[in-house]
Amino acid sequence: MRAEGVQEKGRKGVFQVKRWLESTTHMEFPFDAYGFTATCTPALLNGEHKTYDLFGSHLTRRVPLYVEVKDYASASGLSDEYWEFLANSYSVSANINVQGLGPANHEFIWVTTHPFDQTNWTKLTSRERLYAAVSSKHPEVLGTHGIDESLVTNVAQRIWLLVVNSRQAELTLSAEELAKVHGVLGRKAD
Amino acid sequence: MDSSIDVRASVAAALSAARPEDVIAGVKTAVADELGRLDPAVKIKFTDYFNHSFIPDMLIEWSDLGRRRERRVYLRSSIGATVANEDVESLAPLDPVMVGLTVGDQPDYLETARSQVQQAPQSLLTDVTAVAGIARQVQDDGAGNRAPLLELVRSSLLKGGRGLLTSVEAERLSTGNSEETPTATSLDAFDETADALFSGETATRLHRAADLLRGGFDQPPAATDEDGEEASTRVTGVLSDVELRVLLPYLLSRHDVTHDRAYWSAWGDLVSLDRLEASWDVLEGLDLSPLIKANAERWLAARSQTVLNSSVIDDDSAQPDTRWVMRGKVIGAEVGAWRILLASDARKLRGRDGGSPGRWDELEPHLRRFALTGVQLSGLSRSVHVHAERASDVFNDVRSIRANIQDDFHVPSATVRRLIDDSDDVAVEVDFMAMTASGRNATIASLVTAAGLLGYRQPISVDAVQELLS
Repeated sequence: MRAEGVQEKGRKGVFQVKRWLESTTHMEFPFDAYGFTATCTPALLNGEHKTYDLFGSHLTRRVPLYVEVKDYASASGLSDEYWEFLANSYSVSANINVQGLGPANHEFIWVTTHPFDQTNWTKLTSRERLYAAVSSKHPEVLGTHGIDESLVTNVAQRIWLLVVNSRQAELTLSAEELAKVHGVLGRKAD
Repeated sequence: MDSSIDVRASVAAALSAARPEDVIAGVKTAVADELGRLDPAVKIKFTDYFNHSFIPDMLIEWSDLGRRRERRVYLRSSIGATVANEDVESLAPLDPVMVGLTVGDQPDYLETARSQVQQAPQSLLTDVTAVAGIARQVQDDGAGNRAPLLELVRSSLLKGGRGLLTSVEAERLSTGNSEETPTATSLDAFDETADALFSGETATRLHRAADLLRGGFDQPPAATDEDGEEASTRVTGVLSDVELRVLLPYLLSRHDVTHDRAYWSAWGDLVSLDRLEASWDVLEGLDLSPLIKANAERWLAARSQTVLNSSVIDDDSAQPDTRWVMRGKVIGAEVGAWRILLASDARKLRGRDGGSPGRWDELEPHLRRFALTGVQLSGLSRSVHVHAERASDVFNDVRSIRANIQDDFHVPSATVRRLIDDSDDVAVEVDFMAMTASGRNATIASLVTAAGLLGYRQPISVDAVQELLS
């Protein structure tokens, strides 16, 4: 599987998503694919690697987060790429387990500027959809391994599907406002 | 080693760490090392965040004129990343320093960054290589002879720098300001740098610093600055800690700097004795005489103490060092067998323990030079405290008492004022037990002159005291 190319195209879209998610005060993304490629590139079960656009964590639940951003003007190709995203989410988690790299509690966030596959919208993050992604659409992510049914259930609960509009930026707190509140909120307090 | 290679290697090593937390710790440490090298006067505090869109990675803190100041530092993978993340616009209200970790951005990104920072006049956008370039340039000068303009840039950049500073600008800054003795040309160029690279308050201070250097080398002041302000009006206000700590040691250590009294008197409006004391670490051992002498009649001090100068007493051939010199946080000068110390705060000179009082009969000829406004006389049979309620001088009263009471009067303390000081407010209490002279509104000249009384047993001549003060 080809790792996502670190292209200048789309960089702005990725950073807009980073600012939006961080402005919620619930998440932080210290690493982006453009400046910290290695940290954003976990291994898959089949030995290949996948570069996500962002890597960070949920501040209160303290779980790692990978983000894939699709700054698209149409739905063209998004459905296929989403299948791949689902399969990779499972494969990354399974590889963490197989390699003993710590708890496979990573969450995977798909952020798109354009909706897709709307007839199946409510099922896009379901266990069935994830299972289909791994078993039928992209079985190559398994390498020589079989499917871990309980892991499929766990990973499905850790898939996020978000749609963002560029005007969302107008609804977020400014840097000045966030500077005032973040200390009060104490998201990182022990 | 080339400084840019050095710092790039440190950052690259940090970025290649396997664990994300090690990447963060390594990068922050490498950057903080460079920032600290650039400006050792700032304290650097890490936050719990890294490369966050809004929350800084570090805070730099410093104190200026006793006030705590801070500035936010945001780390980004590169200057180009700040463009992509729209950092310059979104962070502008926070007056940030944004530091790129790597170089090699596309030229068009740098051009975009350059135009963006023009809209954010209090923001500084730079990268670690540029920071290292200036920091190491200063360090490499060696021999303690630092170029003052580069020192001013170095010590002001994090606190008040603005605009885009890449390695190209850093190189230009370093080479353009590296002269040990600034010329008229380099000072004019420095004025331009101040406007281009520093925000309002800092730029104003740097213009003033340039004018002080011009004056120090007897160069004519700049005609006007870019706002049309007369240069002569720029040498006013209160000197920042940066200016004081860079300029004063530099000027005082140079033998070719003017001794013009008017020049050093102008310095007296910009700094004070207590600020010299607070900067003792950079003034230690330097000859402060031009500054002290020019302001001896203007600067207030709280206490002067007279102590025996053992180096002169132990060695007949030794000559007293009559320069005003900072030693061990205290300013002092030697005269005759004595060393006279000065302090802006009486608590800094606690005086001698277990001393003995003076004797009136021995003190009398010396006290004639002063208006005596109070004195304590302790005799074997009588003790008398003579104090002037309104009259300015009780000297003749005491003489009369002395003539009528046969006793050997000792004088634990006396209150005096110089004959040229016409207000009782400037009276100085001379404590012969503690060997101190203290006053609430006394000038350095008043205190030192009164402190001269303390050495009456090995008298200090009037001329010698005067020599210390003019």
